[in-house]
Amino acid sequence: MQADIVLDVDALTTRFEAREGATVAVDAMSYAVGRNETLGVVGESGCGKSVTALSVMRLIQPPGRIESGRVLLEGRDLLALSETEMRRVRGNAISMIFQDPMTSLNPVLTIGQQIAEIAMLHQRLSRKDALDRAAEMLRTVHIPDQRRKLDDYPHQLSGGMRQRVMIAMALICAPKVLIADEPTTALDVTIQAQILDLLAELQETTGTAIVLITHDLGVVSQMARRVVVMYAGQKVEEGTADELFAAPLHPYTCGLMAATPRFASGRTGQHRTPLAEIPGTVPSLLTPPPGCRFAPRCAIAIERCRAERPPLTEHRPAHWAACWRAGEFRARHG
Amino acid sequence: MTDVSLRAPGLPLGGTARRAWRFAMRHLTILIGGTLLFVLIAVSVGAPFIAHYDPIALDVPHRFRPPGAQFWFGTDNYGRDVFSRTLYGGRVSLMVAISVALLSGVIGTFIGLLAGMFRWLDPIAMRIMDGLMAIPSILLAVAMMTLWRPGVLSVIIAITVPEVPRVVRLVRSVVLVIREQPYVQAATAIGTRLPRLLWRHILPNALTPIIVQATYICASAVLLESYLGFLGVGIPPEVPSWGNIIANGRTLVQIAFWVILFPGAFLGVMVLSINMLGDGVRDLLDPRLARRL
Amino acid sequence: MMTFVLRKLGSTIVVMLVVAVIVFLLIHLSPGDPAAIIAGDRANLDDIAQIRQSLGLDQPLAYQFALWLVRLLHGDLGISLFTRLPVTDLVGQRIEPTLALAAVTMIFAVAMALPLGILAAWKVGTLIDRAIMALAIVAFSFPIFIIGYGLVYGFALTWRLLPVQGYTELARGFWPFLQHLILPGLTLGLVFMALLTRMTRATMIEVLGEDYIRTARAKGLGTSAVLLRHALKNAAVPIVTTIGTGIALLIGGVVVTESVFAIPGVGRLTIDAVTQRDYPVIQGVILLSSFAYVLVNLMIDLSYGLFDPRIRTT
Repeated sequence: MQADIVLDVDALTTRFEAREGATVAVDAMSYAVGRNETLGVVGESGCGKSVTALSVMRLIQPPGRIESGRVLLEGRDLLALSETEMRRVRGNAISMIFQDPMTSLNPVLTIGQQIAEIAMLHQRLSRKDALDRAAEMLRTVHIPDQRRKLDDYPHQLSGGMRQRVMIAMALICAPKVLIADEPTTALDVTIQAQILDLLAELQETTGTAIVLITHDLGVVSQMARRVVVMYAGQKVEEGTADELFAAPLHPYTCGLMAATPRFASGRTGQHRTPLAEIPGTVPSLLTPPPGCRFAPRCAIAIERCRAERPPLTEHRPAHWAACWRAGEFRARHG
Repeated sequence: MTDVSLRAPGLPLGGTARRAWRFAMRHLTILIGGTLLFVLIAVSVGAPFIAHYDPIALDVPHRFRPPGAQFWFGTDNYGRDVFSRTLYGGRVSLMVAISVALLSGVIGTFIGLLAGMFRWLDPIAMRIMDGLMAIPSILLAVAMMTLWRPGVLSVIIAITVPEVPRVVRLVRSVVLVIREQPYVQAATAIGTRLPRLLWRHILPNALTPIIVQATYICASAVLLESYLGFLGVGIPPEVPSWGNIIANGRTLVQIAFWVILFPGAFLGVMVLSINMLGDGVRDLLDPRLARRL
Repeated sequence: MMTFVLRKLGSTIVVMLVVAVIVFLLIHLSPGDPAAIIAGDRANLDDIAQIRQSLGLDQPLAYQFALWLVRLLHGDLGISLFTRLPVTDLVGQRIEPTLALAAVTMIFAVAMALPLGILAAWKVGTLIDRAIMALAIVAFSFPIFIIGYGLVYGFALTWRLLPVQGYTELARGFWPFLQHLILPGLTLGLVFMALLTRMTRATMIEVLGEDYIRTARAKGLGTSAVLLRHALKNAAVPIVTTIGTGIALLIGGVVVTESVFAIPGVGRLTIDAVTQRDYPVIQGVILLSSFAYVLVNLMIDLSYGLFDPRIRTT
């Protein structure tokens, strides 16, 4: 069942130096994605999921710095490459799409220019050929009237179309891995579904591995086969989507599941329950607590949790969790 | 504790010294600008105590002396000590500059507040300001000086007028933003009268950018005064100011360049220090632009 | 697009009108008798009375203004007191050196400021950035004549590379023409460059923080492509606007520079007029330079459509 691993992130650590001190935004993060597979990376805002992705792409700028770890793309360690070599990889073997398509596209360049320049850069195509390829990609992402659209500017397109353009840009060089950082968060709900379907469709035809970063569990359940849960820069749980939804091990994951609003059944909504929330806030990463980072907010935390950081253990086959009392939360609270 | 030390010296000092060093590094412009300015102001104010010679007394036997032990900055064509004249000139230039900054600040704020608060007044005021800004400051000041009786007051007013529009625009834009804030609308809703509204709620928030702008105006005024003097329409020559010292020294560039060099250098350093101070204060108060470190 | 252009034209006309009013009021609100001022120091009572009558100075203010404005629109800027020549002629004679100086200054300034500003923004916070900013603030702070005399002392007097002062017409040869303009152009250019560098840097820093720059990097684009193709075009509007508003400083600076380098341009004309209390000339120069400023800014405003497609299509 193990698809051949395309991207293998191994103990990646990224630090930010600020006036007040240093923050370890990503702490020994590891995950892997295989061909034709979608990995979901879940966590609340600020947990480090985007920073991990940017670190993989080596787009972290000072005051941030990738401290240690390896990022193996088909066996090749990206962190060991020179900047010039890395530039040949970016947009080519590994691509990334971002959350807000309006601000992520250059307002003063045409769509055609922005897509074609990638082909011109990595595939050494002529301008004309590159624009042809761009039109082809627009067709692949189901944007009608491709030739005319090439001359349009981002502000002339709708949000959904802009995101499609971003996807076209990301896939034009047939990358092995596509990192999608909250691709649907800024879009309307109806458009969200379309974009996700598009991603799934493209994955089928190209076999691209997708790392889908999101805080929306609904998106994860639809798209991802395996899921990684992050909290305060660390991985707290990993497993298949089915497993995770059916039987989450880590109290945080349980909290996330519980916090998803459920629509009331019946017309009078008699099953309306108050929205469960996880009390407290994410700790400041400047002075992280010594033990488990979730301990201050955990309902079942014990002394050991606060003192000793729990290692990631395989509590069930292919299902890891970093918790001294894995599984007990669910058993207690259902 | 972290070790975010930026090029800290390898001194065997304790934590406070390192923190002080870091603070200095981060706020370098304010530190240097402030120190320079302080020194210049101190020297100018203390001119009567520091300068040895009477700045306007003629001393013909000693004319055209190059800088030396007796006359630190040399003498001009009338034998006047350039050092003394420079120091005394500094007082006048400073006084003019501060007056201009204060005057333009007050007038500009007043007009800007009104323009921001009263919608009907806004377009009128702004068109007038646009018109004023379309006339180059030097030309406007020169025109005024040509028409009016020469004197320190005329110079102050002539320099103030071109500087007012900038303050007006600034204050107006700030007022327009603050006006929409919930706390202002709340205050209006409970019946706060306009003067109190302006004084209590709007003005305090506009104060910071006004002060920063006033700093820049101060620097600009020092320069403008010197230009007026240079062109012959500045402060009358009986009162030494950097402008007219330099104006006098124009003809002497080839034979006694020190007459222009020293007041000019002082001028430059003073404007520089005021500008640095302004930059530093602005960066301090506007974190968005303070991405220097 | 059309409404944009019309609106801009409309406000330009209004601003020019305001300038005319200000210039008109300047002489009429000043202490002293306007007729006496216009007549000059050497006039006697009869001359003054004659001027008062011919200019209609005993008429109501609004009427005078209308008269004056009509004359203005016909290109009549008055007669110089000193030379008795029409102001327009005087300005016409001196315009070439001034325009040449302004052009050389602009070229120097823009050619220096853009690369320096972009470099400083790209390397923000580093030593290079601080050095560039230090250079800019120093050039901005020192008076034009100090920079001018300094350059003269170095390049003209000490190393004898360039002429000390003066001006040669283009008709007399390109190299002599250029030679006389290098030092003055550099002097004023340094000051203007300082202003522009600061603005370029600030704008580029803002632009480089935008999301689309991150996207550009994620595509694997190199530094020059990111800076020049993606960033600069977005920074163009504020930068070009600064050039526009800087024209006012430029015009003022030209007056001082022409004085330092003895260039027989409009600036020198103004200075001579000041010493001679030749008010009509001063007035004429103010009107013309304001007009030039407003015109340049109008063209710049209209050029925004070139840089920002969002303006074009709305």
